[in-house]
Amino acid sequence: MIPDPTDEVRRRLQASAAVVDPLADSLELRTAHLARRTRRLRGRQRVALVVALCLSVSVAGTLVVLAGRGGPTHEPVVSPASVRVDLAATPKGWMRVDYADTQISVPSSWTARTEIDFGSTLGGGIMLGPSSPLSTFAAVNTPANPESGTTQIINGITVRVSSRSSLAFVPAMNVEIAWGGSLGRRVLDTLTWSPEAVALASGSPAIPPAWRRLSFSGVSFAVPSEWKVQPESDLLACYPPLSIPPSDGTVVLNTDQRTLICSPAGSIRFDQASGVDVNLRGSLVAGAESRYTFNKDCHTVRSAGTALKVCVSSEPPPDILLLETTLAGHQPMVFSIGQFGDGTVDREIYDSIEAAEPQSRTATVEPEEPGPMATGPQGQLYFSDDALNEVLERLPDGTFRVIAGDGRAGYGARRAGFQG
Amino acid sequence: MGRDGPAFRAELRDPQGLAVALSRATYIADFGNNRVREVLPDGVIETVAGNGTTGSLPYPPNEQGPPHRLATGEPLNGPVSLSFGTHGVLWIALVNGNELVALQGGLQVQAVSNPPPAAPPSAALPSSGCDPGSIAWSDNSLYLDCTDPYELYELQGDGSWVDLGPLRPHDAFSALAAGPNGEVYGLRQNELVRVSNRTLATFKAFSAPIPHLEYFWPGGVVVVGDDAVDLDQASGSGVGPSSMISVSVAGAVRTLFVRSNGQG
Repeated sequence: MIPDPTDEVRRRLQASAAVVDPLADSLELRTAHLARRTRRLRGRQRVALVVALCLSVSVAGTLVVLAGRGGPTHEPVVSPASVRVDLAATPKGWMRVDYADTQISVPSSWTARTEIDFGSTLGGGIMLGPSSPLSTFAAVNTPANPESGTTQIINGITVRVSSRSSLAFVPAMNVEIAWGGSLGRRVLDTLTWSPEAVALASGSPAIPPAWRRLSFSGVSFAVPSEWKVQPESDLLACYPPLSIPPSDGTVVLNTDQRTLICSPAGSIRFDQASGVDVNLRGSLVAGAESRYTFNKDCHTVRSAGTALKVCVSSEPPPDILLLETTLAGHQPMVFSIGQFGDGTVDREIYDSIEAAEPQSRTATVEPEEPGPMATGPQGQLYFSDDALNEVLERLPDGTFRVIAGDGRAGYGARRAGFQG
Repeated sequence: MGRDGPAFRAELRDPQGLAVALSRATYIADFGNNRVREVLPDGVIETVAGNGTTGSLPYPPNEQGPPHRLATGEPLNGPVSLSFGTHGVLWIALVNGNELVALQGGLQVQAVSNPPPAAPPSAALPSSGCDPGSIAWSDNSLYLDCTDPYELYELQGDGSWVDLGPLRPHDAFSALAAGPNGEVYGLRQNELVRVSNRTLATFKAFSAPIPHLEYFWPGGVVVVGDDAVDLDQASGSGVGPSSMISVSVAGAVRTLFVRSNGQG
């Protein structure tokens, strides 16, 4: 009888759990416990880092920041400069699979399962293997109590490999990799950083000036100018566990706010797309968003006189840099940025996110000295007001909005974070 | 020419005439800055003509100038009125420079003797004494309302101008509007004047009281669709409160706006 791949991984993880935590009598209990513990530990690590840095400054008077804003916050020993995707680590004919900061490569015939396979208690993770039989597999998930083991360096990354089971813990990435079968160990040898890790690594943003800037629901971001924009009013596909970025070079601005019920679990698509899918939160697969905790690399972008909060999912679906933006007066949005290549594109898209400039000033304005008039193609009524030094539009409801001018006599425009 | 920034955060100085392109870009005669600004549909403002100086154009009136001069590098002496002609050419009336300027593709051509559609588009002023205050293209004809003298002219195919009669908007520039059937509307003190077949006729005289308004001497005029003309009055003209009305083809008047405190 051919073992079900999910059961196989579950069995191995349960065996591992029994060794590490004999009190845990089920995978569900263990993984739920470990997920909570992991989150607590991450919080403690951040506190410890701050304390350590403060002590360093007070004692030595010198501070070297290894992980700043946007850097991998859970493993402060990693220098951002060392966070890069080793594209050569992927054997010919294999494909790359990303999970949070981690990238491994597997034979292109393999498929992936996500945490949906394990119920809602695994707390993130991905299982990879041939569809059948599953004599060989690899699984990446957030670690529980990492086993001690021998230290190995794989593609420049320190890995602790268990001497008792086919498990490896990657401290810098805070992931655990389990494997089985003849190809399992070969998969581990492909370990490298993911494009997401590159995107979140600290450093100065360098958004190419030729990129085009898009705005959606109060949030602005930049994409390569050749990418096409596909405004979406209908959620056409229902990929587990969340929307998958569209095909390469496509930006889908999803305005569909219906709630869709999707069948659980299935193989996810493997082609790593470089597109961006932007959705109003609440418009996606029913319940899917609730499974994601956006608590990683939270930071605030101040522009356009407002504050935009950006948080990354700590346990995202594979191959996606998943983040949430929160802006006062607007519905939260979820960005799905396809992890792609060496992460440069992901990084620049991520760095470009900011609050959008409003397109007009609609606050109450009353004409003072209306003058020359003109009409627009849809019958809009425009007129100059030389006392206000503004051009106004009369709206159908009888109110007025400013088309041009800030009320001051002069020449020029304040940029205030604007990028044309 | 560059993307200056969000239009509503830009500074203007005494904006006057407006024109809207088919692309939905709005052009502004930025009189005090001696420039023409463009507001793109995405709300970004750019400068498309004028370098901010008030000098004369580098070639004498009524002579053909170099056809490809970057518009943002040339002086623009007092732009007050804008109108789109044939081939998407934007015409600019310069009241202080006593000139008409044609703008196409970011390039500027001075007024010369031959009108469109000959390329490059050009026109000669009717006389050296005309200060162009308003221009309007209608049915492939260019109408010019001068402030000195207060006369309305129509450009002929041979480059000459026909004097259509006196037209005197009350304390206003850019007070001509093209109608949907080749007619042109202009202002004469308290009157809305309709120009058709080279004849000026009073379309509506605002001598009778308008609801909320005792007097209405319009300074701005625009044709809205096929059946209405909107007009506005600035309180600074000293006649009445800042206000806006709509006049139907049948002559019915509807008040659109009256400044609440009656002050300008």
